[in-house]
Amino acid sequence: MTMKARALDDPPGGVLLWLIVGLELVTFAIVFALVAGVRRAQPDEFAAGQGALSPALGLTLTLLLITSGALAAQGVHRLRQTRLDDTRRWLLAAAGVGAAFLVVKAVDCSAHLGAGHRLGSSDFWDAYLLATGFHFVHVVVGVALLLFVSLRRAVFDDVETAYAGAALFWHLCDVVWFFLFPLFFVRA
Amino acid sequence: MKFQSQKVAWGFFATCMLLLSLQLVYGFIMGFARVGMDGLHEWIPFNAARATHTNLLVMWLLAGFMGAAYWIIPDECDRELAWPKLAWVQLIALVVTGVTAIIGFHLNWWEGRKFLEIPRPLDFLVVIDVLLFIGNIGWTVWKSEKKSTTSMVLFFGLLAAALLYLPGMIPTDNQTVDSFWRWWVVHLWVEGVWELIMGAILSYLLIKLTGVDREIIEKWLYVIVGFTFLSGVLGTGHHYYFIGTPRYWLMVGGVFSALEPLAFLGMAIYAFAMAKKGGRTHPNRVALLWTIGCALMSFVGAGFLGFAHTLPQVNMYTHGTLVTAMHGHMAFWGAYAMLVLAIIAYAMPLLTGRKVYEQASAGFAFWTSNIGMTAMTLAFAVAGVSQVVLERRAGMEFLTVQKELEVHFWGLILAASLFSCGIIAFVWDFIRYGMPNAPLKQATPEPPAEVPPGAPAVARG
Amino acid sequence: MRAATWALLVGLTCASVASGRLWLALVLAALKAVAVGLEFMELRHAARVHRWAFTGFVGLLTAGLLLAL
Repeated sequence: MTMKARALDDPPGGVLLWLIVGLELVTFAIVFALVAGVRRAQPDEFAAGQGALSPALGLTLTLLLITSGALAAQGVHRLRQTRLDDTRRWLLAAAGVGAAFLVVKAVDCSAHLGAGHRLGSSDFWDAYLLATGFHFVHVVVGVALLLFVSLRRAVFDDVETAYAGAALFWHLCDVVWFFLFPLFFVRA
Repeated sequence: MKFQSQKVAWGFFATCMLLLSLQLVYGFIMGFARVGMDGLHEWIPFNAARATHTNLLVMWLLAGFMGAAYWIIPDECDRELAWPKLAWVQLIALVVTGVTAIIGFHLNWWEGRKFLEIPRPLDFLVVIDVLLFIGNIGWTVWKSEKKSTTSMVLFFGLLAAALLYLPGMIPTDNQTVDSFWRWWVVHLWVEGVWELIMGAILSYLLIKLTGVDREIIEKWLYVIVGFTFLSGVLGTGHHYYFIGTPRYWLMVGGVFSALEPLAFLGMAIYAFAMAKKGGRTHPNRVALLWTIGCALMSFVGAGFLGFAHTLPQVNMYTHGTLVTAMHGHMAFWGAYAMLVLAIIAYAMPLLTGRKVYEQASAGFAFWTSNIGMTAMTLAFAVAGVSQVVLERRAGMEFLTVQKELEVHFWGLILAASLFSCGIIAFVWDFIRYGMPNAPLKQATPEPPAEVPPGAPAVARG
Repeated sequence: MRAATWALLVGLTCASVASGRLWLALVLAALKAVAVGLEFMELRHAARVHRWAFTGFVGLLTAGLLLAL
């Protein structure tokens, strides 16, 4: 499908969401710099911490996010074809897979906490738990947004932008995870 | 002035002027003490002067916010204040509590907790007083037909500020735990909920002074304020460096403090853009100057100079030095003092029907105080950096370093004198405005665009 | 396009896990971010400045991380 290029003050997903996405990207960039800093300053401690992480789990989490993102993108694609009811179903599916991410991540996190890897254990665990925890909060917000726009679309004057905006925020959660994933899971 | 009950704001503004003047006096007492001229030491020791200086600041800013709320809420809600008499009672109670606290400091009746020195029994009086205030404002908003975003943000900002006073009262024997909660009050006020109050007052002033559509200003200003607020909440971490709290606060504080200047920058750019868009047709040019100045100086003082020492790697050296005083002075001046002075500069002509803003002294007050404060900030910066180098880098003794820094305090006193000239001009103008005009002649509704093109230079009242 | 992008993302993810090299994984992460940006975030259809701002940001971020590590 061909679409006319949009103006800068009318981005796909809306100005407000893009401002938020921009600010989030800057925030996460600082978080990545911090993780990189810990990795560089304390290589041994970082490697020791990584030993307790499961790469298979990291892969599973990434694949869940990618799949969920593709479902949301499909929904927005239907939206652009003005098939709003389809959009709703795709976004709900995306929220479902997103919820699966939350469950897997929560299980992983409680396993680490159970094994005594807590905030304060070491700089590695501080960085891991805070950075992925901060990402986790964003995924919670993202799933909540997807559910909210799908189930309560009557409250929006501009349903199209609401759908596209929720999906945009959801993709942000993918993009930042793409960087957290190698920083933590790829071993030195 | 649309409503009779808005007059109560004058009482609060007058209190501001009084407390601000007293704050300057205590500033000078400390400045001279730092250069060895501390003849008042027997009566006003440095710790008492310090506590008085900062608590007066908090008191007059709170009085200013309350005055602003009593001015703005009736206007935004389009009705009289619920209980105007209660507002006067509440003002008197606030002043009595404050004066008792300050006399107490001089008699060594205080808690010794930085910024929250007032003794515990008075804490409860403050809480009751603020509850009366919130009740009065809240009931006015509640009973009103018209619920504007600005009045809601102002109300919830004030309510949250009241609630956040409570963590400071959690009893503990542990100094670190006490500091942990203390910063909930101090930081979550100034970099959290006070920013909601600031956003509401700025938005009200920009709507009135620039004539730009309410929808545009309210939507985007509150988005920016939201960003500032969110980064500020986790930015609390920068107060938890090296004070006994867990190490991970270095990470949390470092990341989110780095974001705070961005949001402040956004606010400054936005205020300038709106002023440009509005075309500056409003006759009260000085009020607009204070408004725009507030947005700019809060970026410089709170955003930029704050970031100068919130990175943990930097703060390791600057923690608890005069670098903090550098940031603190301009941040409070830019973000909150100028905000209160802006609303006073806007409201006084409407309260009294006089047009003192047309006179040279009004502009003089703005420029002199700002140049003076910038110079003070520079003096603190030089003193602070010297202190860091001598004490933390070269390892000299604390008191030896203080002796070395004396010369910078002469610079500070000079700069502060300039600053005081500006403030004296502002207070003098306030006095010349006089009391609110007695009977309300007619309630002229403001025109929809707030500023008619080519409006004559008269104060609408 | 969505299905193809999904397959590409899965492929890049598997490649990054298989390689086990941090610099390569970061470059692949950048490619994935740009793919999501262009296709899923619809930047293909956005203003050119907007598209390049996003891509440029991802590029700078990745370059910065590669230099830091």
